[in-house]
Amino acid sequence: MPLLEVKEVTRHFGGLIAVDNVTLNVEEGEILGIIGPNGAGKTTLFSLLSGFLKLSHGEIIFQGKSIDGLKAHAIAKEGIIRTFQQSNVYRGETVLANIMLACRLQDKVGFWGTLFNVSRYRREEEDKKQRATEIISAIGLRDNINNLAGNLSHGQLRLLGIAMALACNPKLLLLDEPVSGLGLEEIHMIMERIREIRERGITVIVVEHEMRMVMNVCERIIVLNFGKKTAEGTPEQIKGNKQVIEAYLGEEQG
Amino acid sequence: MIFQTLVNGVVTGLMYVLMASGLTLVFGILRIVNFAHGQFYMLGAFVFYVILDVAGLGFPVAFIVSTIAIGLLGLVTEKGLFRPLEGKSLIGVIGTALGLMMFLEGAAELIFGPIDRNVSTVFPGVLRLGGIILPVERLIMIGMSAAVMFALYWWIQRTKSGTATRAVSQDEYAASLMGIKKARCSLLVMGIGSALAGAAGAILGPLFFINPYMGGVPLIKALIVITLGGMGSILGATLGGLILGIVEAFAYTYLGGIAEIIGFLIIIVLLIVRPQGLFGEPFELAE
Amino acid sequence: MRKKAVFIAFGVLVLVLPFLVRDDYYMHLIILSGIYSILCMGWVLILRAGQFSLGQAAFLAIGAYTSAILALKFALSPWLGLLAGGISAAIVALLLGWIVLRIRGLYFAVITLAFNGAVQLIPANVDYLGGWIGLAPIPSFTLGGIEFIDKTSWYYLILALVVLSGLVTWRIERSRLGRYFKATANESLAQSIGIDTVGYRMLAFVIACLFAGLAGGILAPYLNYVAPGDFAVWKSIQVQIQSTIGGTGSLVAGPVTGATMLIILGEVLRAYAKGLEPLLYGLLLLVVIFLLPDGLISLPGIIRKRMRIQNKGEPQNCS
Repeated sequence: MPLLEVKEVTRHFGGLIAVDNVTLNVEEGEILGIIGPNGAGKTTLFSLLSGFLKLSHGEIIFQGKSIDGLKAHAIAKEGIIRTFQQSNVYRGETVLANIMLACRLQDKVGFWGTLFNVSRYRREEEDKKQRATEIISAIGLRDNINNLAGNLSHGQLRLLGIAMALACNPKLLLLDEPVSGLGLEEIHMIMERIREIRERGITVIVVEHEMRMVMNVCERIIVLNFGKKTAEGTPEQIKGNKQVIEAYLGEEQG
Repeated sequence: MIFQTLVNGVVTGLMYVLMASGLTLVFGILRIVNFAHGQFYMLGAFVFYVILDVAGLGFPVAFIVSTIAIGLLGLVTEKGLFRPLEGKSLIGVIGTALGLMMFLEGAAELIFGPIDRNVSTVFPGVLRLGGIILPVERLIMIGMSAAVMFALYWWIQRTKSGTATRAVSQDEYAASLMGIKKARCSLLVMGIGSALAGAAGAILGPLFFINPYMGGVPLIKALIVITLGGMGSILGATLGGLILGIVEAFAYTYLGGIAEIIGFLIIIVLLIVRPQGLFGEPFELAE
Repeated sequence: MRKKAVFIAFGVLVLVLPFLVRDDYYMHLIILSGIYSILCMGWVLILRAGQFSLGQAAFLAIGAYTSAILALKFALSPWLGLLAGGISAAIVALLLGWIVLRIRGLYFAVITLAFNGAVQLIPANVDYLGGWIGLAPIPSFTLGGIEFIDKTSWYYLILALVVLSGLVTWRIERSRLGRYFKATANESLAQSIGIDTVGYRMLAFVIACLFAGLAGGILAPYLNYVAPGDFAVWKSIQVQIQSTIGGTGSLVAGPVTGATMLIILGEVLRAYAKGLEPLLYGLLLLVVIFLLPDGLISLPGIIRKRMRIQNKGEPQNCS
């Protein structure tokens, strides 16, 4: 059974159809890429999958369970975690604080335990701090652990965004343009991290414009244009696909 | 009896329309939170009173001065208080408006004293049509309310500045691409909207008595009217005011004092189920 | 070390206050400050979770009227009335919040304002609830045979509730719960990491309104009457103003300071001219918003910083 089944998913805004009857499956453990020109509906699809937008039509089944209609935080709890274009983090908080916030989903102690500062709560927070430190080291931000997120560089911010997503223990990670605007070195760094993430058994969907990265990292690619799925296949198949090349004529090649 | 209630309702409704006219522009179209709108109305009534009864300068002068004075007050408020904090925290935006509201009410109380005052009736006499009793003053008020709403509608639909304002209210970015600056529109709108509030005070003040606390009611009624009619819709505000007036008139007759609660319930229910009111552009409030 | 000493001194002062202030009038002001402190702490809690309420006075009213009705019409002990007042306010907050907490910003504020207006009108127009004149006399608390008549006993009762409310609020602020509240400011980010933003707003709202209701349950027997006039929208606006002037950066110190200062200042000015109170509130609020956005509470810190900058040129002694 596929990890994620997207069936005839459609979303319109007034008269505009942003995602048009898209059907696709995502197998557990794969790295799937979604490409397409600007405005093709890629981010809208992500918003639909993660519960930030409601479906106009269609079904989304995750691990055999229908998740359409669930609120965004509930879907996060199910195990689908998304990142945002242009890094969305808490700039006024430290790197450590950001990751600890992202560990919210592992909280076991409830309201009363928190209120009375019981030992279970304090232990949980201690463990959380340890776990957060490990995540921060693994992603490569150890030196910045106590810096304010607002002071990080672009590349570091992306890493932080990814680290926050990882802290949520995702089963499916949706990365929205993780390398846009980054330099070559930083792109390589993120590509490495994505591979490491997959080694840990997390399924990844990447939306990207940066072609070389997509072709290198993803095992399977889906092409969207005008909200429709227009092609699907391995990187070799997509590279040779005439329609895809046409659609990208004039788009910047990475 | 029913017909008299209906007539009273329509008359009251038009009063509400007049009270709401300024706020429709300011809050309904450009979302400027002017909680001091009621105090502008109150000050309009007081300036009118001072010019008419204290200075003895006659109705036209009193009316024009109060309208212009409050219009200027609106300009100063926009430039000095609202513009610097626009888009910043909610405390800044709402707090400033509330602070101004308190300040103006307190200032009026200090200057004019807490007592009720009667403004001399400029248009005495009573009209009797069939069994209906209608004071001439109210007839004049009806005429002026209608004139004001027509003028407002004409301005927003037919003039360059009005159209520019509508553009800004729909899509600020797109409008800026066409060279329309929100700051200019806000200033213009606050000037006109405040002048309307002052004019409303000048027209309606003489109908009752005036005191520094009379600003609360017009603000609430105006809020109800524009919620009901739809933010940004002049037609909506007119109809909304009439509906509110008529519904209240009948509710008061048959239910008594509790009818006051209807207005509040209208706000709550409408913002929950249909925030765009009767005629507004549909928009989503809930997440 | 010094901070702890100040703290202890302050605590002692608060405990022996009734014996230092022997004037009934001033004790009355202090007790009122206590009531408003509780409302303000709740207001800032709601603000911290991302909402702007203009209706806290409504929940004070619900608590007060519940307690009054239970005492006058059902002859129940005011202690039960106090509890019931808190619970009914919390239930109403739960129901109202369920419907409207997903609405943000200005529109939520307008809804709470309208709610306050509506709630005030209900007892005013229902004879059973006393109409505009209200209900009186309301039996007072008794504890261990002593009836609460003296201001001193009321002071300690209100102090207990202020301390309770303050402890809860302070605990929330220091714990991860407070951090989750703050995190709701970035709605999409919070949701993406599994933070139920609406749920947390609901929690903040119910807690704040619970305490407001409890405060009402004390207010009614204290004043010995309840009347709609005490719960007007103006009171909710006062709560907002007091909290903002005090400082919304802290959940306890700011609100308590703001409430106390403004109640006392307001009363002092009322002796001179009635019109001065709204004038003062309005002016102070505007001054704080523009010149001291973090409230009065931030003043000592700013002064210390200024002095440190001035002393920078001097040889290092001890700072």
